[in-house]
Amino acid sequence: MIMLRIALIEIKARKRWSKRFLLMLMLLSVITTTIAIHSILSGIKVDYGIYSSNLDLDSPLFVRSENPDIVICNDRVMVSGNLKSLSAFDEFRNYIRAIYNQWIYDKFGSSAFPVLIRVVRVPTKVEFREITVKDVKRIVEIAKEEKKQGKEIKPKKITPKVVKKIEGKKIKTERSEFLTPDELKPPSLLSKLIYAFGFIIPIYFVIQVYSSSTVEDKMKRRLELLFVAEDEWMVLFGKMMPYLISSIVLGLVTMAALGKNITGIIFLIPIILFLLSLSTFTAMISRSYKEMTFLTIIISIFITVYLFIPAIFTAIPMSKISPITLLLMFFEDGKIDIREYVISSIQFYVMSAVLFTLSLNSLEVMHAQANPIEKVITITTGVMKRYWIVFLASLLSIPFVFVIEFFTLSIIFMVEHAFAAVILLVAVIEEFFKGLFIYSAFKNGLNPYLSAILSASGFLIGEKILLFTFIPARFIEYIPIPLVAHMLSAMIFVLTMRFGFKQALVASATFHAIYDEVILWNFSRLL
Amino acid sequence: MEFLKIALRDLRSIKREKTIIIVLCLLFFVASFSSLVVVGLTLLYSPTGYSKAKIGLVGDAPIFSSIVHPIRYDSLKSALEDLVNGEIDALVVFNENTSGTNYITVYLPKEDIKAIKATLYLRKKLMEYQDVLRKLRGIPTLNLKVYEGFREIEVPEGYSLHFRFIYVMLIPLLAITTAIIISAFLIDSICEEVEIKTLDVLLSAVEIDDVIAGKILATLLLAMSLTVFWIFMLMLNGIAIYNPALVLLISISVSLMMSAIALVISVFMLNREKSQLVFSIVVISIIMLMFSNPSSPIALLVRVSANSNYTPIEVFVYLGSSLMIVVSSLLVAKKRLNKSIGLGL
Repeated sequence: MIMLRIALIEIKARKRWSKRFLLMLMLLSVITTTIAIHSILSGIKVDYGIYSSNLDLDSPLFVRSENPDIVICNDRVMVSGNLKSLSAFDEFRNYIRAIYNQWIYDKFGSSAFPVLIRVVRVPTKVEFREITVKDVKRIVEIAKEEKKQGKEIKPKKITPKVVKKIEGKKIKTERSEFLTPDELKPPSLLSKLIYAFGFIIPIYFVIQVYSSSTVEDKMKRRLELLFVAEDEWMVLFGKMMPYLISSIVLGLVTMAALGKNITGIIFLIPIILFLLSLSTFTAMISRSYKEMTFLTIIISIFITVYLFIPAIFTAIPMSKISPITLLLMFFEDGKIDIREYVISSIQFYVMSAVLFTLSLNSLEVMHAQANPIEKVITITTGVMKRYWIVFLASLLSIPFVFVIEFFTLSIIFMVEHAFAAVILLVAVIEEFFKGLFIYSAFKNGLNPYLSAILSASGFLIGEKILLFTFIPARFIEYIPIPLVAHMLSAMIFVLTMRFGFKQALVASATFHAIYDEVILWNFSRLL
Repeated sequence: MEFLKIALRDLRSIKREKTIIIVLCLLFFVASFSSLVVVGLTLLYSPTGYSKAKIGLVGDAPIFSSIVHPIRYDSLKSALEDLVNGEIDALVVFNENTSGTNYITVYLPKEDIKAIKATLYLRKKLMEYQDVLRKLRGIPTLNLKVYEGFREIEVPEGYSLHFRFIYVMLIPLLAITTAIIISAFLIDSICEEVEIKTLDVLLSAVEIDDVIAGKILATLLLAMSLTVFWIFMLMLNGIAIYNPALVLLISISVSLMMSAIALVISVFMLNREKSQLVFSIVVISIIMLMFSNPSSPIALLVRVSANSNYTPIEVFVYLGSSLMIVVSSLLVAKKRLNKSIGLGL
């Protein structure tokens, strides 16, 4: 009942928005939608005039210049060999091909197009192969090599008017799906993403209103009053409810509008819950609006990447880690694999529950001026009161660790010789979480050594559960090695803990990194 | 001089909260992730990758076979089985017809990544095949030769993707991210002062002009340092940014324009929740308009950073007009704030 009341208060708070403001919002949404449609129809035009040639071409991409990127002379084109010049030639080739197609069609009719293609897509077996360190290193090396040479190719979109004409005049009646070889394009990975964005963007707006409202309640000390009067979880959940419901409704409406099966909402629910509890948590720990905004921007970008990037690489089993991948697959074949759904969504449910619990315990740090990390330590200290909680916390931290580690991988490609840096970063992240629980337990008067053992084993078990869902069981034989590593680094943390959290983190992470480096290096030599 | 103090005060609060580190991490992440994408695309579309695609054929096609050297199958069933098991990368089904149109059915893997390799290879070969058939029919074929100096070279199809990714996507994206970050910062810094009532205290000591000008100055300095940071980062990553000074000026103009809009919105809403919501809706329209307009500042940014067709005058026109927009937004903000303070809001 109380929950409902708070939900109603929250809705009423939105009613405080004057009619004028609501009218303006509606007007703005209409204008934005109109502009969006206009822009999508007219396409990207910022590339106009990026290339130059010695002749006047009837293409907006090219301008005439004294010092051109390409020099056209009869059937020869001269290039200077740099990236821009070669790219200019590539786009010029597309342009000239379109003109040529038009010309031969006008002159010879449909007999000028002797090859027409129909594409049928067949689901094939996805090979499962364990990726070893050596593989990763090799891929990085190849990639860097290729990057230096600047070689990569992808057919650019060209739509010869001719083919449309053929379709219109003659062929369409019987075989409308046929393409000329020029038109045979590899699947565009980006278009899939844009499509999936359509489901998430409206939800982001709801979340934004929610997080603003929460942080405002906090700043104006309304939350405290409510917390004193009612159960904390009812207050927070009641506050979330209207946003949860409206996000779900928005998701359903978007799916229905795009003519999709609305059962797909089950893939969005874990994401919505996660975003809501994440916003609650950031609202609780941030010191000011500015900090809140920055935290929200960076976290939403991270989460977006984590959700969407796997959806591109559907050929890899790992891609099923994201509910978005499964959502897109569901729209294609209409099937839901319960096991896959559980695997991909459970991490989001776990993270939501954890963040929600932490938010409930953040009352005392809500207005403190400590930095977010100090606040997190204070909050976990409030929770780590029993040994089993240490174990469970460590186990449940795995999804967070995994999400963060996902991003450190991208650094490999950014910096030369980043492999060592990534190993170090991964070590710092893992030790941070393990140490956090040991430190908090210790502050509560629990035995640090026992906590260290519990934290290390909880972490290891969580890690393995996650890995085994993707990697075959024969890896089980390697368990003793990482167990020793986790235990030892946890012990180092305990021993250095009296110098402070940061110092202990540095010590244990250094050990962890060196250990990983030695093990991986030896492994990669063996393989 | 008061406005300088206000600006420094705002910047200090970012420094104190270490939020600037988060912002720099964000830009670093955007840039490093994009290079990950570039590397990914490079691997996927590399010519060495697609030259190895194995093509299966069901049917009778001698000319086609002489070009592609496919693996022959007698039945569609066994060929499809091999495709599913990954023995071949694509399957082509047709009987060659040298005088009429050849309707070819191509079976490709449904998984995108696998399909790309096969599609690129097949496209190239089918275009060769099309040219051979055209020659047989006496239709002239398109034969473009490309020379670097006096040496004939080959430019892979779709070579321009890399170039486009850097100059048409990545650099505009970084400039826009910067503009959005500093606008959100401005909205927060104004609404926070209003909502926790520090603005009243501030105004008892400082003129309202100085407060607003100080806040704009802080955002300007922030925008400058962020832009310098990402330009430097891209250069470090081996990406050639031409005319970095002009790129900096355009990026600042975009940031100034957006922060002027943010300023006007926030003084009218005087509430973070409403301001952020309105601003994010408005910003989507602005981004869309800028990308679909060939004379927008973003289009200029693309041309300047890629050293294409531009004149420095254009850059200064945008800078000048963005300054004018900022000044007029300052006037509007002043008037509005005076009024709302008069009303005791």
